[in-house]
Amino acid sequence: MSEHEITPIETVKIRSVSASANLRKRQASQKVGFGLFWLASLVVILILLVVVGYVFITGFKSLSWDFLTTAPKGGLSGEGGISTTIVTTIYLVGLILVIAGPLGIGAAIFLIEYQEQTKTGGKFVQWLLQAANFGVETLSGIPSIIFGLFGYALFVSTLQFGFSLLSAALAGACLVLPTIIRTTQEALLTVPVSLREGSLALGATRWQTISKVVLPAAIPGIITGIMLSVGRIISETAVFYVTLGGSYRLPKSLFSGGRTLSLHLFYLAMDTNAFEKAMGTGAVLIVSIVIINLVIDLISRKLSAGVRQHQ
Amino acid sequence: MNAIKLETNAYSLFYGKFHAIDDISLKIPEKQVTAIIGPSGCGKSTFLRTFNRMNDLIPGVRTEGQALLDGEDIFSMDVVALRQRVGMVFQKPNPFPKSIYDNVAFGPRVNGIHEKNVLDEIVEISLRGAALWNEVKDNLGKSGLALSGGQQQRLCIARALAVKPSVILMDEPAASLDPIATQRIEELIRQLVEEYTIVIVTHNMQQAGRVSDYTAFFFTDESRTGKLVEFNLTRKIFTNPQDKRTEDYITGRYG
Repeated sequence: MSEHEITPIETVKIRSVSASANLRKRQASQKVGFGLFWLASLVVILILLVVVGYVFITGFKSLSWDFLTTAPKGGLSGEGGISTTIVTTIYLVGLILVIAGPLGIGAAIFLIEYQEQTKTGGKFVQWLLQAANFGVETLSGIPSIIFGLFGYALFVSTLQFGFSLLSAALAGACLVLPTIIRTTQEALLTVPVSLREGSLALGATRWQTISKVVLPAAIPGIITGIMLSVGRIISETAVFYVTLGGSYRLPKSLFSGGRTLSLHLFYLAMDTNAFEKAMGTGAVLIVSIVIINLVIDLISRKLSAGVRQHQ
Repeated sequence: MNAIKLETNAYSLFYGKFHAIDDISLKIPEKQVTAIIGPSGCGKSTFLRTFNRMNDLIPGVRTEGQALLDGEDIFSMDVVALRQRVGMVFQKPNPFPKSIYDNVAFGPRVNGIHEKNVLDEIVEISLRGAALWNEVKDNLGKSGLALSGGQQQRLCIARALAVKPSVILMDEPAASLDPIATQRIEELIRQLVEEYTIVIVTHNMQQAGRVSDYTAFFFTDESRTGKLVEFNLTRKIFTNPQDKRTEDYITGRYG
């Protein structure tokens, strides 16, 4: 206590003077700081509006019900609509999710729920888990064209799948696996330990605990991961450029090539003079991404509400 | 003294290199309430979690000595089978985000009971056993999370009863509840002891005095290693403690 005993009156004086002088300065710097943040967010919103606005305004003329429902006819002028590319995109999204969904969710469950085996398990299990975690981290940072080239080398040429839906789906699955694994891991981690303990303490096995308690509670987060992947697939070009071929016709089987929306956009912009149609396609893409993001937002809001309720 | 339900012999537990509890030999009698009291960090909960092997979940845990349930070695039992015999109620009520009915039916279901009429009966008996039936019988489809804290904790007790254990471990079951809800839990404990062996960890010495027949006092020093100081009938611990540290603790001389 002794070191705090300074003559009281003087202390009060000094403190009050310096505090108010300091206060003005602090308030000023706060204003400057907030001003900068404001500006930053304003710039971001502006950029977004300009990009989206530009695409919509240029693409507006070509947007119509016909544009959405007729098939592209090819040629230098980019005749026709985008119907087959929409269908191809949907095919590809479905295929990729069928492949990457179970794989990614399964891997995430293993990585999180059996994590302690990194410490108690055998050397081989430890090594496997560490390698898997490291792999996921590395994969999520790799540029997508590398997945494309890998897909080309392995699926298109070595395995002889050709430029096809199958090759593109397998390469695309590699692309979104890290996203699905990551988001599922995060979703599993948000499930409170107390729920797991409660289940185990009732004589549930680990698998029963995961399937009946942990997974149901994590589902909104997992769905978010899936929706993010859908967005990623819809907007991806590089991977499909080298695995899907470029046919604008509707794929007839797993082994036929095709075009996704964003690939079509790329071809329209590079090989034709139908710039407005490219922009129209872009507008369709943007709308679908916006819808996906709204769905994600809705789900995550529901998720956080559920978590809050539990705390 | 009743038959011995739970027993440890020279039992020690380590988290990696950390020596958490040391050399505890204790005999817990059947169909009695045994309270484990002591300051924070003295290994009470860790000791409690020995009996349903909840410590197995923590990586790097190592034990020495013996822990027995009905004379059988706990560590050589199948852990799932053990947890059907030894139920647990946690400090914070942790009902599943499911309906009241599904919460109580969870244990029987994971143990393979799926006939609706059997489940209905188990749910009713368990909720009655946990003194919750009259409050929820018309709302069994309501989420367990919609109940008040005290009701949630009784739901968790009902959930534990539904597996038909013979032992119930309670880890500070009233720590997060208001005084009225606490009182109801304490009354419930006195009813349950007619049929179950109850081991309760509590910070609250008055609570130990009110609900328990036997009390074990755990203590620790700078080493943070928990040791058993004294075990006896609760009234003896509270009126005539044999150890100075017990006396100091129950008279509130430790902060």
